[in-house]
Amino acid sequence: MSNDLHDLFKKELDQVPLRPTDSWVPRGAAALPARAAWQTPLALAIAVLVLVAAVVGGRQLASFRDRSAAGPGVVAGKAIYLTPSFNGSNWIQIDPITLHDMSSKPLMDIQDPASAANDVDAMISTDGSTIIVGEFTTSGVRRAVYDGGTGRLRGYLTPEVPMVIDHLSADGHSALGRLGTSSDALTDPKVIISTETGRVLRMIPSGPQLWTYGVITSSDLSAIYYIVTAVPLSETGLDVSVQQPLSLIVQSTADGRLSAPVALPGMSWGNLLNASPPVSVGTSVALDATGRQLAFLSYDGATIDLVDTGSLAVTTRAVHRKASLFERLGGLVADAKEFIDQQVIDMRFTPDSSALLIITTNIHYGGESPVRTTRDIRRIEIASAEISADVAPTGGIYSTLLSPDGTALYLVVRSQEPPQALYVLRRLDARTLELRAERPLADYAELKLVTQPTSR
Amino acid sequence: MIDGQDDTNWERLYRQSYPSVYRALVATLLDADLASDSLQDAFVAGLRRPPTNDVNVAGWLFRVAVRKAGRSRRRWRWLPLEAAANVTAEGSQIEALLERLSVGQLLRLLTPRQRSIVVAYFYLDQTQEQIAELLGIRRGTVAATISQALTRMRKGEGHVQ
Repeated sequence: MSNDLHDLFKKELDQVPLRPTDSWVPRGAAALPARAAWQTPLALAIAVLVLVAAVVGGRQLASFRDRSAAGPGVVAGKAIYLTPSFNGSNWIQIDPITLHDMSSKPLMDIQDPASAANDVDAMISTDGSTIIVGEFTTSGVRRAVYDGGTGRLRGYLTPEVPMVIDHLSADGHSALGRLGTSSDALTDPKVIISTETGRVLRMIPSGPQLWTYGVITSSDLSAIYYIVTAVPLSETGLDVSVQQPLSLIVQSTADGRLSAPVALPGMSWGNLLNASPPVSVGTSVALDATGRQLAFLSYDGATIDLVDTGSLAVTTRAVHRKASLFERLGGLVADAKEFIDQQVIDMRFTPDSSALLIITTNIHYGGESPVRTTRDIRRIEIASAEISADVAPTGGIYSTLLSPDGTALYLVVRSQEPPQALYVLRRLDARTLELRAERPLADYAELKLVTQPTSR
Repeated sequence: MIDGQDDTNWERLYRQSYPSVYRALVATLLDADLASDSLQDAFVAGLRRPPTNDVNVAGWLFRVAVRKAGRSRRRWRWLPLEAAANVTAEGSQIEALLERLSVGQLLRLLTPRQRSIVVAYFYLDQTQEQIAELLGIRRGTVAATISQALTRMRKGEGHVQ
């Protein structure tokens, strides 16, 4: 639940259409007065305000886009983009070193001002070659498939069977998802389709019939990893007042077979009852780029389980830090003095699989608007399980991206809270986690990685 | 009574709060027609017995409407099947939209009581103190209910599209 709930509730529930104003009060309930005198000026004032905001915002965005910088703007064959809008359009390429704007190409085709979508999301294949933009409307979803290098529209994806697309293969040629349009269980039957034709490539039977904490898929979609409790789904509920131990079950998408459960020592899911109010905590999971290694981190940050995906052998290591480092933090979960409503942990392997980067963000509700703070960013070396870098930057982190060569960690950070929210883009050295570059952003933006732009 | 309270003023306040309260009710009751009807009932209740001074109008309307909806539901349980004809096409479309929204899917994981508190908190921007006052419960109960609801939503989040 990585979105701020306040924002998510506003964004989504404001889509619920209102009934005609003349039906707001019951007929005959009262002698209804004429339109109040204040309403017209207020409507005009709002319209003017919206217009001014649009003009000012448009100018800012235009000047933001027009900036340019010399340099190739590409790292390890990939380009980094900022998406300042929520509708999948207006992507801006940035220089990976200076962070300056470079170009709004190649993704201009994605812009569709006529779109009546309530919601748009963009999935990008790991190699950056394929972008699927889903537009969700009341009548259904339309999925446009774009070339990641040129931004050119390849066509529209209509799956042969109703499905919810959850994962793209690394090369973007196929997609895996839950069968049916109302599927709501992680363990439901799944299907793999071609993103070029929408044809079904493979049907996959149900996963383990256990309460499931999470699912992760191999980049070639050959295996599905279920992180499960020992509690059967047939039981009506899961007791989260205790920490439920977790295990791993692997399902082959080739034949649908499930492995025996593999215990994950130290990994659990449940509530921390000594927090006030109790905080739900869980295990962080990451799969390395080769697909050969899964990493699990316990909620307290003290234990790593490494699983060889070929043999399913588990290696457990105690996380520790260099003796010379100032010991200022305990586990990942906040100290009792800090009231948090939600904790989001983003864990990922470096491209060479030698380290894990763990970004822990706390979300605080209860004020005028949710406030996100960054607890810390850590780097843990896989070979030694040592914390080799640990920083606690200011501001809440809203979007992250690790450069494809593993040298830089990019962050979109809210540097000032509303009502005058300000965002900045930062580049950290991915090894030391020291700040190397920073620039302001005109507005909230997300980071995306696609293939090196080519001429259209 | 609200300053200068009269029917006109009450309707003005009601209309100001209508969009957010109506949407909050749709999300809480998961029934657009019931949300509309119960909000109208709350308006009538306000006409008959206006809320007191300094009242939190949106919170008041929400609480009254939720209570009236609860009574309506209990009453409707005994109505014959033809009552289903009262469901409007507009209501059905709104409910279909809600089913598709991730918030709608998350809210379905909650009990009605959790839903009403979560919606009041996260959508209507009522503080925990205000919710406690509206529902006549302790602030700690509100905080605990929100926490339980968050746990339930987190647990079910992976099951949401």
